[in-house]
Amino acid sequence: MSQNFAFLDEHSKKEIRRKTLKAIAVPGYQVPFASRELPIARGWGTGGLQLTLSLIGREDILKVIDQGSDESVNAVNIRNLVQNTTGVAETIHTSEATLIQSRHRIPEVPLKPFQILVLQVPQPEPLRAVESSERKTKMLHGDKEYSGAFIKLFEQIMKFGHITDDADYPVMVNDRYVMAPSPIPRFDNPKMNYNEGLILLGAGREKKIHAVPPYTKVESLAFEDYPFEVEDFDDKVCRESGLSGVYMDELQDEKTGETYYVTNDTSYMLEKLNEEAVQHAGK
Amino acid sequence: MKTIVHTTQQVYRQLINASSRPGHTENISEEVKNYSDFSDAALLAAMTLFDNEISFFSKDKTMRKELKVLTGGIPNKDHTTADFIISKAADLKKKYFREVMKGILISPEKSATLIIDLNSIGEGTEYSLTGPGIKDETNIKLSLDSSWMELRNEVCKEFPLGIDLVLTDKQNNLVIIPRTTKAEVK
Repeated sequence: MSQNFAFLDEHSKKEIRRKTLKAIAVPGYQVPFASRELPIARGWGTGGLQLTLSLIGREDILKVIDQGSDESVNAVNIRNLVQNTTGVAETIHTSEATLIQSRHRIPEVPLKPFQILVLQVPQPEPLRAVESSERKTKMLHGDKEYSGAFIKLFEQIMKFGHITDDADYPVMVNDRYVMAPSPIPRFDNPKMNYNEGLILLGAGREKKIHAVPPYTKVESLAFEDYPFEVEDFDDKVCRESGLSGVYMDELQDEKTGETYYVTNDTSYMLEKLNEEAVQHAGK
Repeated sequence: MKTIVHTTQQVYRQLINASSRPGHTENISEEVKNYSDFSDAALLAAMTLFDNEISFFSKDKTMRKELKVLTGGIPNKDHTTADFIISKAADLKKKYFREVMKGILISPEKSATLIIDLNSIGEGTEYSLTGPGIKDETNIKLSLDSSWMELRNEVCKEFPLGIDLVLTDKQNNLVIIPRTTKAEVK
């Protein structure tokens, strides 16, 4: 059976394309879209996948990551689907890719101009925890009424003494819309602020597309006396590569029970290790 | 083999580049059979985005027919409810800015996009652009009279409401000025 280029039919692509352009014109606002059926279940990256399929062309170089890894099941299957229906080249290197689809991480290597990062979003509505009605949250966004988002953080401070939102920490985009940045760790939030590439976010199950254009102010919500803080890895060193200052996974050695840390962005770690090996060989 | 699927994909990526970097000029070099006297860039931008789910308004009879046949887009008799307005700069009217859809607060995306075919991008009135997508400031010369830009600024002053401009020229250059961009005569 032959398949249209990039799987989706052209009408579906056109609809996604029109909505994506609107999303770029209103940064941080969630534009509703039709969200088509795909060979993977909704909630498994279909929003990101539809964005990728609407964008991708024959000259693109694609990178797909899942929690920092190019090799996890989700990343491999999405990459296979896109490659089988387009024949595009793939890479694991962030700087070589023209199009990056990611689940829950922004790569350690900063985006370059004209690169596009597509993020998979499970829950695009930052106010959903405080307001279950879509009609009402749309009105709250329209009125720029974000007390609810702040109250959620305030209650965490009251209960636990600090803000407990670790991933999907809400951000204010372009001083207008509060946006859910998808479940990227807090560590990645500052990377969005005035970044050089385009960030597109797609929620397939919730049928929303939102965007952060390049050079756009993205500020994490916080209070004057409780400023925004990222996860602290200052005193941690990656066991495999010796890297520090990157986002790390905390793991446990099953034999010794010892806690250790490994760089989460595996392709970045590999690049650094290879650089080191080359330098070493040179000596 | 190059088909319309690849052509529209290519044009779409140029639209993405242009809209996420207001003032950045993309040259649309794709080939198209064009029976209208609009530029290929204007026609291709419309062909990339139009289908039978959208309505468009154009005063130009040939272009109207062309777009209907090529895309299935619904020609609107009325500019006030059209999703897209497509016009040459010389045929612009104040009502294309003032009376078109500019979205509502809960749905700012329900707004019109104006595709305006200019004589030249790179010559004419110099505008300074600032806002999301622009590092510091971009300057661009457009053969678009500043009175139109003032009208556009008027319509876009109540962000997130507003209209987005897709500007094309005879050399098939394309620039997008979304509603977030602050445009001032330099």
